Amino acid sequence: MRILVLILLVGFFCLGNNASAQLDSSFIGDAVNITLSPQFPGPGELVSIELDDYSIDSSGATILWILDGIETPTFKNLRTISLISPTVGKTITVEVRLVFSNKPTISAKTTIRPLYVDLVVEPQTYTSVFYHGRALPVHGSIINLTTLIQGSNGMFNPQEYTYNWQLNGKSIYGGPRAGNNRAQIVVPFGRNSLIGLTITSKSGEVVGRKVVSIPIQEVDVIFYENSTLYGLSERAIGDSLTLVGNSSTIRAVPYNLDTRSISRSLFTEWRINSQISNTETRDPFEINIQREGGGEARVGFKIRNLSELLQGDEESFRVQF
Amino acid sequence: MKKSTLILIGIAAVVVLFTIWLYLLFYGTPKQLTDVFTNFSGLGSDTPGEFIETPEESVPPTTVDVLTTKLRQLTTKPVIGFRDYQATTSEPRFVRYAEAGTGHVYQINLQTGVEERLSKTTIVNAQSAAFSPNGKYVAIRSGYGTQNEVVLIELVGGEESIVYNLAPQMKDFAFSYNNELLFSELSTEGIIGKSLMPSTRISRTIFNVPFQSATILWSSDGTTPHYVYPKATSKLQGYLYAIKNGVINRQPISGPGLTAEGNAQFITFTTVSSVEPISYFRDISSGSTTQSAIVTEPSKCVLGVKYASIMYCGYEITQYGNDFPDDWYKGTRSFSDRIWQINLNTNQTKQIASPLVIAGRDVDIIDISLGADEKELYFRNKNDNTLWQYEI
Repeated sequence: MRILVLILLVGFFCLGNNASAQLDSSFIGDAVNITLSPQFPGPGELVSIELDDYSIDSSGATILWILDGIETPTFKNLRTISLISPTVGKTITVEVRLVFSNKPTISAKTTIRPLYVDLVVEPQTYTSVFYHGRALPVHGSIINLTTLIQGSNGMFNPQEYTYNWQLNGKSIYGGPRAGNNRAQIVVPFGRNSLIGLTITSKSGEVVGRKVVSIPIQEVDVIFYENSTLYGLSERAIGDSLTLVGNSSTIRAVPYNLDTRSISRSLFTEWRINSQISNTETRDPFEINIQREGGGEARVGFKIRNLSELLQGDEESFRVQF
Repeated sequence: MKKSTLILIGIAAVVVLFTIWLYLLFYGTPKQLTDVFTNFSGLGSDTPGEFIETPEESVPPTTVDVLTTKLRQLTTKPVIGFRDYQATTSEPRFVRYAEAGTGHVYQINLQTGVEERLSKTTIVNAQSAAFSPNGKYVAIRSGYGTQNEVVLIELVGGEESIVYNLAPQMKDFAFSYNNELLFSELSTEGIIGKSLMPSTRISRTIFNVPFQSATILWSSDGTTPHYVYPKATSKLQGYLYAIKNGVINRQPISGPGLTAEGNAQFITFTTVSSVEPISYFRDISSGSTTQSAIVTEPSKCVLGVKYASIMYCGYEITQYGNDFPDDWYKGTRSFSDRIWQINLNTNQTKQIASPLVIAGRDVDIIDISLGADEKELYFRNKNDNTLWQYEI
C-alpha cells in the first residue's frame, strides 16, 4: 500500500511537467507518461517523444507505439521516437503501451495539436535611416514584444486568452493578464535575456508556451559620408577615407543606442588627431572636414548615454587628403 | 658659308622670334593652333570673343549604348527608382528612372539609346522612387525620418509635371499592377497597409499588421498575396505572413535572419544558421521545400510572373557568414555579384553573366527587376546607385 501511494504521488508531480495544453493527455494505467520536446511543438516541427516510466519496473515489457490508432513496428521497443508534427488544424495522437507477460498492459496517450506561437521582438534602438534590418537591443533599452498565435481558424483573438510574460524567469506584470498579447521590457544586464510566454484559454487550458533568447548587443558606431545632394551614403567608411573634394561631411551612426537617449542627456565628442573638434553643424552626429594641404588625419567620435553609462562606443578612421 | 652670313641669319631669327613674342604679348595667347597662322599677318586683328560659347542647340542628346553588349550600364547618374515602359507594342520601349538627390525623371529609348528628361521638377534630397506601370506617375520620397515627404509626380509631356504632396509618414511604397500606389503607415500598434488611387488621391486601408518593424513585399501582379515579415536580423527570429483580402495568415516559414520573396507559385526564403545563411524555395501548391544552391535576398533576386518558376539573382561565390544580412544592410560589407538563373522546378542554377568579367566592375546588385516581357533584367549597383540592364 505504501508503495502504491508513493507511485501515485510521483505520478501526480510528473503530470505537471509534461505534455498538456494543446495536447490532450490521458493516462491509462498508472505511472507511465509521455514527454514531448519541445513541449508545445509548432506545425511541421521535429518532435522528440519519450516514454517516461521511471516510477515503475518495466523490465521485460514490450514497448509499442501507436500513432493515430496504428501500431508503428519500426518504433517497437524504442524509448524515444521522433516525428514531424502535423500542420495547423491537424492532430496526431500518440499512444505508448507497455505490454507485460505477467501483468496488465500500461499505456499513456497524448494528442499533438500544433499552433503557430510567434513572438515578435522589436528593440527600440537606433539605426541608420536607410537600414533595412531590425534594430538590436542594448542594456537599458526598451524591447516591445508582440505575440501572434494562429490556429486552424486563423489568428487568435487576444481578448480570448490570458498571457503570462516572463523575463529571465520572473513574471513581467506580476502574473497572467487577459488580452495582454503585448509586453514591454527594459533590457537587463547580461549577454542574453530569456523571454517566456504562457498562453492560457479562458477555461484554464494552457494552449501554448514559448521561450525566446534575446542576445544583448553593444552600441556600435559606424561612419558614413553625407552628401548635401544625395544624402547619406549607404556604404560605410571602413578604416580609412580618401578625401576627393575639398571637404566632406561625415555622419556617425550609433547603431543599437537607446532611441530615448537621442533627445535626452547624451555625450558626443568629435576628435581630429586627438584634438577635440568643435563641430560646425548643429547635428552632434555630423562633422565637416576640410582639406588643408596634403597628408592624413585621424577622425574619432565618442558617444555615451549619460542615463545608461554602459551604452557607449568610441570609433575612429583615417582620412587621407 | 661665311661667318658674317651666319651671324646675319642668327640676328634675323632673333628678330623674328622677338616679333612673335611681342605679338603674343599684346594680342594674347592663341586659342587654337590655327589662330597662330591665320591671324599672324600684319600683327593680326582683334580676335572676336574671348569666351567660346557652345550654342545650346548644338549639345548632342545623351545617348546610351544599347546595342553592343548584353550587359550595359545605362546611367552614370545615381538612380533611386526605375521601371521599363512601353505605351503600346508598336511604340518603342523605354526605361524611366529618377535621379538621386534631384528627383529629375529621365527616360532612355531602349532601341536608339537616346535619353531625354521627362520632369525637371527638383525634389530636394530625393531618396527613393517608384514608377506606375502605365508610366504616368512617379512617387518620390524626399528625405527620411521627420523630414520624410513623399510626392506624387504626374508626367504630362515634355518636361512638365504636376506635383502632389502625399501623406508625410509613408514608411514605404510601391505601385500595384493596376497603377494604385500601395504604401504603409505606422500606427500605435503596428503598420497599416493602404492603397491610393493617383487620379483622385483617395486612399483606403487594405490591411493591418500588429508590429511596426516590418518588411512588406507588395504584390505586383494582383494574384500573389502581399507578404510581410519582421525586419531581418541574423540575431532574431523572423516569421513569414501572407496577406490576402486583408487577412493575415502565417506561412510555414520562419527562422533567424528570415528574408523572403514570393510569387503565385513559389516562395524563396533565407534563414541564417550558426555559420552561414541558407536559402530555400517552397512550392506553394505541393508544400515541398528545396534547398537552393545560392544565397538569395529579396533585393538581389526577382521571380518571374510570366515564367513563375524562373528566378534571377545576384550572388557572389563567397562566404556570407552568420552576420548576413545585417552587415550588408549596414554597408560594412559589399559583394561583387554574378547574375544567376535558377529554375525552381528543376533546381538547376546557372551563371548567366559576370559584371566583373564583362564590364570590369564590382556590381553589388540591388532592386533587381524584370522587364515587362521578362527578357531583360534591370538593377542598381549599390556601390554607386547606377542603373544597369542585362538582356537575358
